[in-house]
Amino acid sequence: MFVMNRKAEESKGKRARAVWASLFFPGTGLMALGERRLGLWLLIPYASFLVFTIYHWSSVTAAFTTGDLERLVAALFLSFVLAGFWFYSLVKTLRWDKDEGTGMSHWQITKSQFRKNKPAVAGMLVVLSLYAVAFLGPFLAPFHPNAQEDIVRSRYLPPLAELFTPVVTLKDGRRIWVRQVREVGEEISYVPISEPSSGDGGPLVPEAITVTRDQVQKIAKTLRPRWWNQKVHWLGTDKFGRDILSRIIYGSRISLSIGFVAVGIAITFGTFVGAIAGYYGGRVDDVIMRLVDMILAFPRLFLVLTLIALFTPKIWLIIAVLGATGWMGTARLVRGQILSLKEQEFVQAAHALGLSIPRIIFRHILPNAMAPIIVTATLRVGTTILVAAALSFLGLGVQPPTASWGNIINQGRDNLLGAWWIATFPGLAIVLTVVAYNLFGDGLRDALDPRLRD
Amino acid sequence: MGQLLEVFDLKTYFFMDEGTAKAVDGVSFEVDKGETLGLVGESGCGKSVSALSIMRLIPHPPGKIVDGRITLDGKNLLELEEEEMREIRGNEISMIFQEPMTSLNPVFTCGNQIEEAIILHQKVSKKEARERAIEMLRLVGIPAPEQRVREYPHQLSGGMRQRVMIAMALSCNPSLLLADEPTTALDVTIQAQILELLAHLQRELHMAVIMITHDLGVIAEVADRVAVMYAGKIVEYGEVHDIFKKPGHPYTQGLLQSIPKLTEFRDRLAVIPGIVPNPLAFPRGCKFHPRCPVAVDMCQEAEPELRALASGHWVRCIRA
Repeated sequence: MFVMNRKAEESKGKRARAVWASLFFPGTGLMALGERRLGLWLLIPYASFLVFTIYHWSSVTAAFTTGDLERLVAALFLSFVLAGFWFYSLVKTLRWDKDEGTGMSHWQITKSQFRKNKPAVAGMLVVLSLYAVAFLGPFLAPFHPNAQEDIVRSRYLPPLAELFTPVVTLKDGRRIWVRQVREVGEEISYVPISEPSSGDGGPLVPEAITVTRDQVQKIAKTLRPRWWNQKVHWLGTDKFGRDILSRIIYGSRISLSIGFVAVGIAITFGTFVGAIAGYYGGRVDDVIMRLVDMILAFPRLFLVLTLIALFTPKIWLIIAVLGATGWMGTARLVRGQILSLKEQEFVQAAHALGLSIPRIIFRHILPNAMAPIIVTATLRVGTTILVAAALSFLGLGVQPPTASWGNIINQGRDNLLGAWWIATFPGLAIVLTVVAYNLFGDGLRDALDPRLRD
Repeated sequence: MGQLLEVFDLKTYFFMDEGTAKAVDGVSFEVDKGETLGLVGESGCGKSVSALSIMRLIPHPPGKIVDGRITLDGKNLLELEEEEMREIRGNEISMIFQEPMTSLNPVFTCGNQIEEAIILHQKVSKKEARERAIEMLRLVGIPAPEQRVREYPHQLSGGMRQRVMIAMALSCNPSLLLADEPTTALDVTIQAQILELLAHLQRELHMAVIMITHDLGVIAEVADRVAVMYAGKIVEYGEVHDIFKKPGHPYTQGLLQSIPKLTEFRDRLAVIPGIVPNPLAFPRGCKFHPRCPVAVDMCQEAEPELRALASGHWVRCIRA
């Protein structure tokens, strides 16, 4: 008895220390409690986000006051992610020795199955990082996506090119990268390079600023910018002198959100329609499924092009059209699932308990069909991103100068041999995204399908 | 004891491309409060369809209740609106099914499934429903119910699942329980436990049970009255000891003879020759006559009516 008590006391003290550790640094508490793996998975991303935040501290804090929506969203995203990791790790530490019932739930089995599939985990991590990059775009992008430094000198710069840039150091301590300096008598006029993401409203070619000579401390005519000054064109520039990396980062926001939202719409609608058709059967089923067959008879890209050509291409229109043309497969899939599920005895048991039909469909049958729905959703995001890119490539997608992966490629097409980097890197981004989504989706399918479990 | 349920001249037909299947064709019986009625017969004789008709859960196309009256406590269930019927299902009449493996929803915990019915019918809070679910699980003899409510069906054994099913069916204190072969999928020792549990709960909650089975052993153990069904009709109806002592219908006699007895030695079990007739093409006259050992010419001509053999013992046979 005494020994038992001491053990309990000891574990209590251990947990208290772990909670303090988690309070100050997420993950460490769990590592101290022996959950090394989970702890590391929490600690590493938390630490990277924290380093990122500290590095960009001034821009992050400024984002809350300037009223620039993009930066505000990015800063909010950072805060939520940090808070999320902190909170999750704290809760996990606090509930560490709580008994969560015997055995494993479906969800836990799925998780442990998914973890064993390394490519799928990698895919998931890539997908998550892509979204993080998209959110943090304004902090990450070295240039404004539409900024043309000095079009004459900066167009068609190959990857890793740096533009040798004059720097004017003023007496009040400001250092300004400038396009050109002109000295006339006591006056010095210079044209600053537009800062990264000065907002959509900012001028693309800033006006010259004139100061008097006694305001200037030093003019360095050609300064080779150091890489941490972020003035290197890592992936080169396009024919307008715009930085490809920045455009890809900003374009990812368009492409990824089109993929995600359009698939969300398509899956929701398809599931609803398929559930109705499958459950009610008979004439309802006939009408709905013949409609599906009819829409499926058209090639999708043709349908999308026709619909978009009728209106002016706007991002919400593209999302709506991609959603409206992508639901049929899901409807078929869900219908098939429901057809077999509705004959199961638990459905009859639910009827016998007096539950209403919508409740039976949406609360009892559909959750059982969730696994294939989730899987098609993830697999479809990849193809939808491809279709969206194809649309941009054909010129009916998001309109320039807004960057999207498809229209960067489209612009690179003009000079594919001379400036291969313009079309190549956004193409690689698309490949990466689609492959990552497919690995993730495959892994989910294997984890969710009990027949494939080992 | 007063009458609880009366089924009068119930006719449930299935209209299919191949023709009309008269699955239940003029069945009448009654169940008193607190009593157990056994519904016996081979597969396809209309036992389950009768039960589903009482619940009004016949899949609409192709099935339809074409005629009859089902009266529960003075209400004709066949005249109720669908919403009113939903109020009755799970609340006044409950049903348990044959397959405990598939009649629980695999994505919900046992607790959630029991609570759902309680919340629906008794308008109580989530917390009260959880307490009641735990209480029900304890009542059906599940050890550590506080833990079991949080478990998923796949974590339970077949017998445990059937107990959960029973807990779910009884959670709203129904006055009538339809048990559709509740022990068929279980092994014999578990069968005995479940039957004992049902009998115990029946006394405790004072509810009537319609026990649907093809197992005469089960009937002998639990039933007060028995209705033997054959090809959509009741062929014999009476007190349980009358039926077992003096079976009137040749079909009942055949069923009883096919049970092996402990006291005699046999190489092969006695069987009733032939198979259940196809419901799309019943034979003319008495539907049992092609398989009947005592059939005469007259049996082919007209279907016999139920007639009283003794007080409260009815038989549909001219030879009885």
